[in-house]
Amino acid sequence: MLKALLWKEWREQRPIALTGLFLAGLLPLFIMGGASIMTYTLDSSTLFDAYLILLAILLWPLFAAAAGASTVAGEVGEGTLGFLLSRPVSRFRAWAIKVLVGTGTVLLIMTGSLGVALLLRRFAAPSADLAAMLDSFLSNRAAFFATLAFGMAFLFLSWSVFFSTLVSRPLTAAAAGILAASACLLGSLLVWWHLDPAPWVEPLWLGAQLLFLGALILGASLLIFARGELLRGQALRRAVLPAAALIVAGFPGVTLPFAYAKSVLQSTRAALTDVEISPRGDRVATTVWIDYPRTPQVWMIPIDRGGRRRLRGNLAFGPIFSPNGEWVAYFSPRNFLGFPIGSLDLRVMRWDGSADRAILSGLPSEGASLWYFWTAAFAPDGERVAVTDGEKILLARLNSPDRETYSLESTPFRGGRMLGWSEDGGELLFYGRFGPLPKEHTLIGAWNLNTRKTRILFDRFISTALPRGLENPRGMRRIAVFTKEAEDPHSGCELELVDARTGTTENISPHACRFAASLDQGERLVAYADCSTPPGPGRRHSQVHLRDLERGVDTVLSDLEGTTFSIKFSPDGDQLLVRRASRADLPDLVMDLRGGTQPIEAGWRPLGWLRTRVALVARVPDAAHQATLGTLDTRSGKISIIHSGLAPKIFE
Amino acid sequence: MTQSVIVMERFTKHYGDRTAVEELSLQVPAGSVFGFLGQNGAGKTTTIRALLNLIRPTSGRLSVVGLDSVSDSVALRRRVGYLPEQPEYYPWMSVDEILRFNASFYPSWDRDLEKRLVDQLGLPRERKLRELSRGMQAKVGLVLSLGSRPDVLILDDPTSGLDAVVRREFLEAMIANVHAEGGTVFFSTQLLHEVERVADEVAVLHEGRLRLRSNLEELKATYKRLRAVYPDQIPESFPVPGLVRAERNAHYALLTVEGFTPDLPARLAENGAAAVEVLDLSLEEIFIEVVKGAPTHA
Repeated sequence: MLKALLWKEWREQRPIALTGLFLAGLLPLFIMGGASIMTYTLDSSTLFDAYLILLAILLWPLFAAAAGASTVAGEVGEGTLGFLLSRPVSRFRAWAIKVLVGTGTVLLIMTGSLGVALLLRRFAAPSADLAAMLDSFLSNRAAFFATLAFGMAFLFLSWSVFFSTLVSRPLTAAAAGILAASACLLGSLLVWWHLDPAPWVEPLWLGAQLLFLGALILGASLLIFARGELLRGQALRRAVLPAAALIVAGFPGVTLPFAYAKSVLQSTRAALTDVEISPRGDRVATTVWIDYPRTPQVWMIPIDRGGRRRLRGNLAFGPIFSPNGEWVAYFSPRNFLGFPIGSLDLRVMRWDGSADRAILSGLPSEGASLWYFWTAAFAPDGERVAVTDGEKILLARLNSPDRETYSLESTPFRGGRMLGWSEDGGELLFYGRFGPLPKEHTLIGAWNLNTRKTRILFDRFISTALPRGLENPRGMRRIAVFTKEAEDPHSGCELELVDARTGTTENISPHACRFAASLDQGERLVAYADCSTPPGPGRRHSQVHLRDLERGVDTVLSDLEGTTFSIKFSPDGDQLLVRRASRADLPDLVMDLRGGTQPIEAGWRPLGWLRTRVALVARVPDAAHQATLGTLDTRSGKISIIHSGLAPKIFE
Repeated sequence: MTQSVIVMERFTKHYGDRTAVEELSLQVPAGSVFGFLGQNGAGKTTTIRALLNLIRPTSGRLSVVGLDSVSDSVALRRRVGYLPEQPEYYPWMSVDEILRFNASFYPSWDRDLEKRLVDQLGLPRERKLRELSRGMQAKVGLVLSLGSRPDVLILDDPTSGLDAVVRREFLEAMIANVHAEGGTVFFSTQLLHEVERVADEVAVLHEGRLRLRSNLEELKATYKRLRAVYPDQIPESFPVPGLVRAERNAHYALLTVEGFTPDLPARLAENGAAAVEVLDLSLEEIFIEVVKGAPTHA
């Protein structure tokens, strides 16, 4: 019976499926024809995108409505429903198979037209690697696109099925279904728009919400079909009322939970970047990349208790804490449907994910590879946030809609990067590197927000590594510049400290290990590593130095095998976290300034200080261990695991 | 005691303010050919559709072969053959396709019987249903309703509009394949002479109410017409119990009676009739008398 019913329903849906596939094949020609008339040149990528969009918003919904409308009304119109229902088959089964085959028809049209889309791309760009293209499409947008597009099509199908149980003409049912589904879709989007949950939940979830809405409407349709009397009589009218009530009551019930949904997904195929330790050291905000490098998410990891949580859905990245640790700013390139758009928003939320809102919108960014030109920094007052892409500076306030935009076009900082705010919050510090190697022109300077004037702090024809502001959560006082002039690539860099207030420069070492410098909070001591000594045969060595800036006294703390990668002062200035070259036999170290050095357990790498004598450490996974975050008690050397199995790749 | 295959208990169906059937209680004995009669709009189709759960009773209960029409409707329909007045089949299907499609619903489907009926009725298996005449489509319907060897065959005036030859084939097939094998036939029709030929029992529904239910032979024995000749003057009244109607002519009176007894001619003779002739009534005539004599329920 089942097979016969499926066969019968398919025979009735077959003309719709074939027409849909035929039009899907013709649609590219229409697009190309339209572009030709408008003298618009289409490249293969634009054609592909335009085709997908037209499929999703036009062809699929229309044919879903046609498939839905023909389920019941088609039989009523022909008078065959009485024949079917007088066979020994339950109404539920008859209805379910109709809907199942209608859904299958929609899926067939969708699959077939996606096949056309891929062929189109293949023929439009014959040199493209089809497998790579397919892989890119599937991993990048397919889940978003497919779920949302199917959710939309399913909504149109459901509404048309609903009206198909009420009216006797398929065309009327389809028209009513299209109107109702469009209104329903618009309502859903308005709810999402109003709640501004875009970086919060996935387009997948909007798609899922539409699927649930569709299921709700189908339920109402079933109610009518099961209780109605072949589309006649009082019983039908009695069934319509509860069905309508079901839909009206169910709409917010289905919509709101999805719009407010939060995720606690495990990320098993992820990479972890931007490990931001909160100023109080009680939590870590980080960017988790699912299917690296395509879909970043912002996660919050408490230090002292479990329950890591994804604060924001896909396409949210680059979290930074405000100076008091209450707020987190991050970027998101999503539109309100959750799809990536050609611009970024800067958004802020509380550390628990609440009060999420965009404070800057429409930051131009053509493509994901250009997202990272934008950098953001909280002012020391915690109220203002500056972002820049090197072309202009945008300034937003947390508690005010005021926005300020400054152009860098006529300044020497155009094309440079923002290092952060000055300590007094009156200036933004920039860094630029211009000209060809090896004699680059390196520029460090300050942009005054009040006078809109620039102040050059460092300007030399010299190649530099990216400068770093040395530790000061309340703004930058000193900038470490690692310059490179020596021809021997292993002889280290020149380390200079640039005072952001006065612009004076102090030479610290002519052979410093790149990036390995740290200042204590009193800014009296600087710890750095020297990579030049001793130059003996075999393995390289580095020395950890401590420089008293006031007295100008330099002390060698330790002579280490291998190069030193980074050094970080503890908040109390008594200890250093020393990270060494990536060699399994060279453990990272905790160095006590009052004497004593202890190795950190093999396999663990220090990420930073959480508080005095407690460091954040991470284990990079290997065959025997999962990726793990932990805390290191630097007195005892004991590591306590916070979270394991977090991500296979952890980047500092 | 004969078992009832169809049981209706106080079945009522309202369509809005209109009452289609009211308080209908009826039992159809197993193995009978039961004629379900009534004018257009009397409630016959409503009752049959409710039996098959195509519509729901407003109140009351219906069952067929012991299965409730609402809660056991799928099992019920598996044991019932049903042919509506104007069957609508999928026009794109061929005769063979609709037979296969229909057969899939019935585990008891008899392929041999199907083949025999198709041959007997001269149905073209490969032709599309949309290409068949009304009569041929009715024959397809007959095969569809008989092929599962149903315990009960329910026919809702399926022969109206068919020519006499097809109607005869229809009735013969019905009797040969259901009734002769102990099955029950419950059929409504406007063609009363057909009922008269085949039915054992009849019920008359009028304006949604049961007006009459009887064995056909008993009915015909009960309803008689007396032709009483009066040479002088026709009396004002007749000493006849159960008098339904009296028609006066020049020298005779035609008296239709319900509950005829053999002593009635003698009574009329005592009343001045020179001659009394007892006439049989056809079912159609009885039906008209019953319907005419019924109170009207607006």
